Amino acid sequence: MTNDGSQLFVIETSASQVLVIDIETREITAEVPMGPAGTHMYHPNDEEMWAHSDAEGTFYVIDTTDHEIVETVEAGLGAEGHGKLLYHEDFGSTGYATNVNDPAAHVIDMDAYERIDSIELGDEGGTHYKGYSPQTSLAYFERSGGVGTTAVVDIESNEVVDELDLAGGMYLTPDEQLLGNIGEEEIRFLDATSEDSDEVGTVGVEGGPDALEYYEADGTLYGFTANTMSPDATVVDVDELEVVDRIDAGEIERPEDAHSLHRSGVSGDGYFFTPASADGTVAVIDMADRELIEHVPVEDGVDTVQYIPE
Amino acid sequence: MSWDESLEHAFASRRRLWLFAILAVVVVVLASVATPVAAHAYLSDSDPANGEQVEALPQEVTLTFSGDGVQTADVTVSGPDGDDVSSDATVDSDDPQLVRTPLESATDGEAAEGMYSVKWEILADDGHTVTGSFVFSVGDEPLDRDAVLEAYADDEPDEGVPPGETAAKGLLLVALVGLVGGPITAGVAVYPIADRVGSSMRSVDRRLKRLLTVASALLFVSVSALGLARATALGSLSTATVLEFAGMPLGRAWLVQLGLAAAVLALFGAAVAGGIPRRIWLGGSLVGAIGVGAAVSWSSHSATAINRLQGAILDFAHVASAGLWVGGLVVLALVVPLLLRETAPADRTTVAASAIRRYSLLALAGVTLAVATGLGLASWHVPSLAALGESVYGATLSTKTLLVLLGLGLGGFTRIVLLRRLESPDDADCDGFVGRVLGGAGTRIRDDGGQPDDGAITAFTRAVRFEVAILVLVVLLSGLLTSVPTAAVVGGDDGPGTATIEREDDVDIELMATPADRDANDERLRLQQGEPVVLEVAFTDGDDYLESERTVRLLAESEAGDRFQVELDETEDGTYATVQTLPSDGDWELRITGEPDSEFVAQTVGAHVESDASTHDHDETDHSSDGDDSLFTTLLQFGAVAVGVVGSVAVAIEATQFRKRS
Repeated sequence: MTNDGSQLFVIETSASQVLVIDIETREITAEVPMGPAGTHMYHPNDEEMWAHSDAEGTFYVIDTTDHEIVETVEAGLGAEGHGKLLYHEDFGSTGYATNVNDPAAHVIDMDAYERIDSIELGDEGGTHYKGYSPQTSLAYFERSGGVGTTAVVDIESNEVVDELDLAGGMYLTPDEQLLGNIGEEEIRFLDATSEDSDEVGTVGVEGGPDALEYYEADGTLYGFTANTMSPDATVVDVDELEVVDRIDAGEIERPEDAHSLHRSGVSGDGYFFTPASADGTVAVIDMADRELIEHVPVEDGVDTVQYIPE
Repeated sequence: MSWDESLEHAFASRRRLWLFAILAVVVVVLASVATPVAAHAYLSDSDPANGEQVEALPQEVTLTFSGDGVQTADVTVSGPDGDDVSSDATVDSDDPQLVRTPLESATDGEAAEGMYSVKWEILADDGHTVTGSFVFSVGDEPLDRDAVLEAYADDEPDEGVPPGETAAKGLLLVALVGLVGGPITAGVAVYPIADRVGSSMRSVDRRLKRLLTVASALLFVSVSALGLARATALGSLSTATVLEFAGMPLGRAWLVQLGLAAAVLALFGAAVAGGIPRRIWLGGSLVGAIGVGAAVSWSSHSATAINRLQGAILDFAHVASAGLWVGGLVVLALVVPLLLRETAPADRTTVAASAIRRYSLLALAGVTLAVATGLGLASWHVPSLAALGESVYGATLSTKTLLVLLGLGLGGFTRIVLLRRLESPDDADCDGFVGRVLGGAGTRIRDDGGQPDDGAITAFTRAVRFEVAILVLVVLLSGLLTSVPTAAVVGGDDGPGTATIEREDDVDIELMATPADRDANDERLRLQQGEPVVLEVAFTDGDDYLESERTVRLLAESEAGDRFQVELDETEDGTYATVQTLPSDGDWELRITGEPDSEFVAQTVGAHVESDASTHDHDETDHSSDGDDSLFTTLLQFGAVAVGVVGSVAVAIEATQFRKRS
């Protein structure tokens, strides 16, 4: 969603295009062509959407006003590969792109629309998940392709300062004190204020957790995850590092030949939403009461949800 | 008994009239029945289909034709390496529209993968040889642009002029024209006049018999040659080939024509030898020629491609009316001068004028019918004015039309100017341009002291003979017209038409589709469902082709929800191309993306895909589907009707005036 809340940009992967939806009228106002196999999209500034084409390892920069492609930015070295974009106001006009085919974090000049450098992180594998701690100015890049570690880069010098023995998605808490890392059947919390990224603790979460959303209630920070291998969402007390609840959220589809599964989860205004593609529903959970409100029926194929506040 | 009385006696007798009519009908029906019910044959389906991708090489390729049956077929299937992988094609004994070609390949599995091209040639029941080609692929290998374009180019109708068939057809038509028009003109414009002035008809008979004997010999020779020319479609000319041809439906029809032509020749052989009454050899000539003409018309372009009965009738009427006009003119040119020599000098101008008047009535009817039917035939076979310049057929028809106009002009001169001079020599302008050209009755003095108005007769004879020469050339050109594909076929959906859509922006984009059409007022491409289409994209800046820095892609999406995306291959020409088959009919959107000159471009082009049922239609009357073509066709048809109406009125007026004079 654009920062002003007026438009929703959605990647329609099968059509290699981005749909622009007017939030007020809820109508599609534009179809913007992009490269094939689009997955992730980012809104690094008020004027642009950066949509990544995995087939080309390229970001398509879309002007949010006239809905035209402003530029294409080839981020991956081999002009292909699944990738993400790490950006923060601390970076200015610089962004960092990951690519599962490249053992590097690519430095992107987002004003010049070009890759200006690549921070080498190893000899094999690639990069996938990313995270950033403003407290320490450290960026975290998961080393994918079987490497199983996470490289730590000082963004002020663009140099590798550490390598952590963990992998998976990274989610910064709202107070920027902890960095949650989703591993297999566990969530590890790191001290986001520590130059050494010290581990604070680990919570075992059964069911294949994916996507972590935080919610603070009564002075306690909770983490809500959607699980890929079980029909529930797990609630973790981040302070106590323990699972406090499991809430029915429905099942996702698990194709037999899938080598990895994902389940998205978003939150907003105290609600946690996660699609249950196998049931054809989206679970709506009250984060304060930690209870399911409803399984809302949706069309087949829904696997991503975006919260639009009123 | 005078010739007029004789004619009246002959045709006043109802019983003889009925016998004559029945005999004519029997001859026509016999010739028609013996002619196969043929129609223009075309490939309507194949397995594998055109552009189909199959998993494995099939054991055979089957071709299904519509229209009518196939007499012989020659099919060659070439594999990815260009090797012939096919055995002899056979026509299914139970279904003459089905042709099977077994495939034999030394390779199988992955080694057999690739693109295959099929080239076929058939001899259809209508005697036309039709050729075509298509492609299919084994495995996931995409269709190759150049190979597909080559296949479509090979699929174009062969516009080559078959010399033997063309010459035979032309001479056959000349013979028919003489054998139809000669007896009628003699019976209406020569013998009655000779009888009236008491001239001896013996020399006229002799001259006419010789003329018609030559025409009947020409008919026999040309029919024979035409059959032999068609037999060569089965192989080199030999007794076996001819016998094989004679056994086919087309061959059997030829035998009937040959029989009729032989009968006419024999009749004149007997007539020259003497002992056969005039009415027999005149009538026999006419009936025999009508029989052969009807059989020829039954397998004409119009009959086989448009509508059997309607086409044959129109075609026959065109030939018969040309016979009235041109055949009669031949008699006027070669027989009437002889009659004039046999006539007393004082009566010559009267005889000449009378002959011209009588013939003019026939000619007016003949011209009216010939022009009206000609315009009607043109409306079927020429879809647009532009088509006249785009094919051998069109060019020949244009030439024929010009010559016809020249002939009409000369005919008008003969009828109006010369006739007036003959009938009123004293009133004729002897000092004007025409008078000087004609030599003027008042100024020309013969050495033998002959009558000064013999100059008009001489001029008349010269003009008529010149007109005959031009119109015989027209008839010969008609032989060419009937031997090559019509303009509608050449310009029809057999050719690899290319439609182009251009979009101008900072970078111009050009999308070309083959085969495709595009209506003048429609920005959409018109494509064919299930048929492989070569889609070619060019990014241009002025005349320069720009290279795309990113893969050029095509996303195709239909209204019905079908969708696919492909990458285009860069060609040697600097364009980007792909070969695709749109699987469903209806409206589609084709979106092209690329990055020429470091600028991302995306353009969407609309396309309308027509289903197999609606477009694979070889009825030539449907070819003129867009506005301009329909207008041209309508104008021709209107012209045909207008000429028919006006001409008929003119004939009626002329006949009335003739009756008053008589």
